[in-house]
Amino acid sequence: MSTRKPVTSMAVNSIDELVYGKCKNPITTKMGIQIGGGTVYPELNHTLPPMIVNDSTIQEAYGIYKEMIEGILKRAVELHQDAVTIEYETVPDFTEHPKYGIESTKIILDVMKEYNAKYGIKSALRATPNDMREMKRPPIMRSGSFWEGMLEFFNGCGELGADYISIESTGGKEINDEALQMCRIDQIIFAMGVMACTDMEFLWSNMVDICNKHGMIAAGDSSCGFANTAMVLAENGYIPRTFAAVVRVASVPRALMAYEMGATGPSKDCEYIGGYLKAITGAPIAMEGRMACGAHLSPVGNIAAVLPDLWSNESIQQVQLLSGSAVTAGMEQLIYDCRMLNKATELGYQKQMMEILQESDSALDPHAYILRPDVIMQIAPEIIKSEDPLVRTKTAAACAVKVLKEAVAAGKVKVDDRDAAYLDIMEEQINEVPEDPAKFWEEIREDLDESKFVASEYNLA
Amino acid sequence: MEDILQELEEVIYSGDAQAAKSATEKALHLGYSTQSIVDKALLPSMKEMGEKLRRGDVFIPEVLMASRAMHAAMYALKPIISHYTGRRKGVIIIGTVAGDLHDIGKNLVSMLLSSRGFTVIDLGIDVTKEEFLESIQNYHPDIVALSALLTTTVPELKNIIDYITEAGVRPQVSIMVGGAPVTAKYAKEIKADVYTNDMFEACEAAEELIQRRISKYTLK
Repeated sequence: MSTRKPVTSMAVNSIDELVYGKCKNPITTKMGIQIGGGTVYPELNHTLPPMIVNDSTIQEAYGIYKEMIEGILKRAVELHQDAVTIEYETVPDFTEHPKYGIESTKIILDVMKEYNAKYGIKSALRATPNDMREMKRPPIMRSGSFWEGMLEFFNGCGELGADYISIESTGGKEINDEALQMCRIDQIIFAMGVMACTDMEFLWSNMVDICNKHGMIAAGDSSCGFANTAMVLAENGYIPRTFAAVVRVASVPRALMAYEMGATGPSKDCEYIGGYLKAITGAPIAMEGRMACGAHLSPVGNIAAVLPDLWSNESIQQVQLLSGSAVTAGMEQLIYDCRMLNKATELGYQKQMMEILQESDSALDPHAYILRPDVIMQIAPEIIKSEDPLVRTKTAAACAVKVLKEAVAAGKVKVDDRDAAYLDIMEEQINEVPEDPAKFWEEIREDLDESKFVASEYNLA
Repeated sequence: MEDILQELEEVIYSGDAQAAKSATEKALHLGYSTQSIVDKALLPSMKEMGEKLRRGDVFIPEVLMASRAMHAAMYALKPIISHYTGRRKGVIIIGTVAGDLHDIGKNLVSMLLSSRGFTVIDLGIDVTKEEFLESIQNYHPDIVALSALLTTTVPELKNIIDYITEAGVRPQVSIMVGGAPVTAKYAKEIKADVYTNDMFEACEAAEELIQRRISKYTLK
């Protein structure tokens, strides 16, 4: 059974080593694509148009998946792309009924193999099942039919030959949603630093074992339900941008847990703190930025492209555009972006390209600012000074507040006064957070709605 | 005398629940009726908070704090609230459809509607068509608000509307739908009454529907 091996030192010690396309510990897929070996590859995520999924419509859904993957690979061949990666992120029905998810995985893999045989194009598949445990409220995290279904799907993906597996796990989300709406960074720290990390130790122990059994790569766990929700709420003006940026950095220890349990990447596209993971673990990362705007808006469209090894679109649904299917168009956009990044490297302009991408965004939004490689290299070593997930999460949040306060004071990032005031509020709340999880639990529980989660599922007495 | 109502509004803006309760008690002591406290201080202040949020002058936590202060004030009025004869706003049932766990957007709509004085019955997430129907039969709402955030749960909106229609209660309620993948065109196809794009529009539409059973967001 996989156990946690805490990271205690940085894989990357110099900012010069932190670049796109290359990482300390590249991985190689089943068809021989080296990810993190010097080239950025596109990663296309695709999903169904609005439709009900059940036994009477599933054949239609399978047909759409086949049509989508054929369109994606056909266009990649036409654009002379020698390798692409695909993400199959299920909608809940496909994990809840593993037979649906497994059959669609097979359909996608069969077309990928067919295109490899016919045209020589290499491809790799990331399978991303849903965390179904939250379908029952309060969620039961370690047993029950939802958990069993997830295990069946994980195993099914492995047996079929998916290259790597990811998830957006939801442990701790029970209290995170309300904490986001109330801008309670102390509760966010509890949700991610205590609850999520505890759950991920259990979840990823299972996932890594399944990956080892099937020769699949364990590829990380996105904080989508935590930090991306914060980013989108801030983008709508509902919560402060500084708050969302601090939540983002505070999600690093949570994401790191998957790697400490045995994941080796590439991290998932919507894990925007991928740069921190790359610096700490040396694993390859997927990132999404401007090409994700078909799924959601963000203030980090360019800076997200500073460090990726896979460049992704988040997700796009099968709808018809003037040019053809949106999914096919998404592949074309990603291929052109990757060509540009890789050509810049080949011509010796990689650092200049990174600078353009970074400087075009980082002064305009705190979320973009905290993705700067120099900020990453400032905060990441502080996070891993402790092995304790709670201390790490508190440190990450505190460092983000400090960095942003300094940047605001120096005029390096644009934040209005109303928004900047939350940096002081957060600083105060963070200072009050105890570093002992048991003490923290005792102190915070009266503020939490305990009907929303089962404390024992998180080892909370 | 009006100063106390002004003071009550101010403490609601600042989200001070204790002060809101005290100011309400003081207003009662000075002889203000429940109706005047609600109509001249509580509802206008929460309406203004909603407007401030729409203008980008405040964030959600400030609106939630104000909402809590308003509820503290209402708590002080509770012993005599039965004497309140003012116009009661409508009852709204809200929920995210079956198979869908997204609740933040729905919660925000719910919060804003409550702060405008509607009685909101939030059924939560993953709500089945049977549960919606049962709630309509139990609570007799004016409006049913349905949310769906996944492409695969959007069709559930139609299932719910069809189910409510077949059960014969459709004429009793106005139905509002929303959620990122939902479009006005689709909402019209499934015979929803109103489609709104965000929580502010949802609130505006609810006000109009309650008054006239028709809104500028009504699907024609």
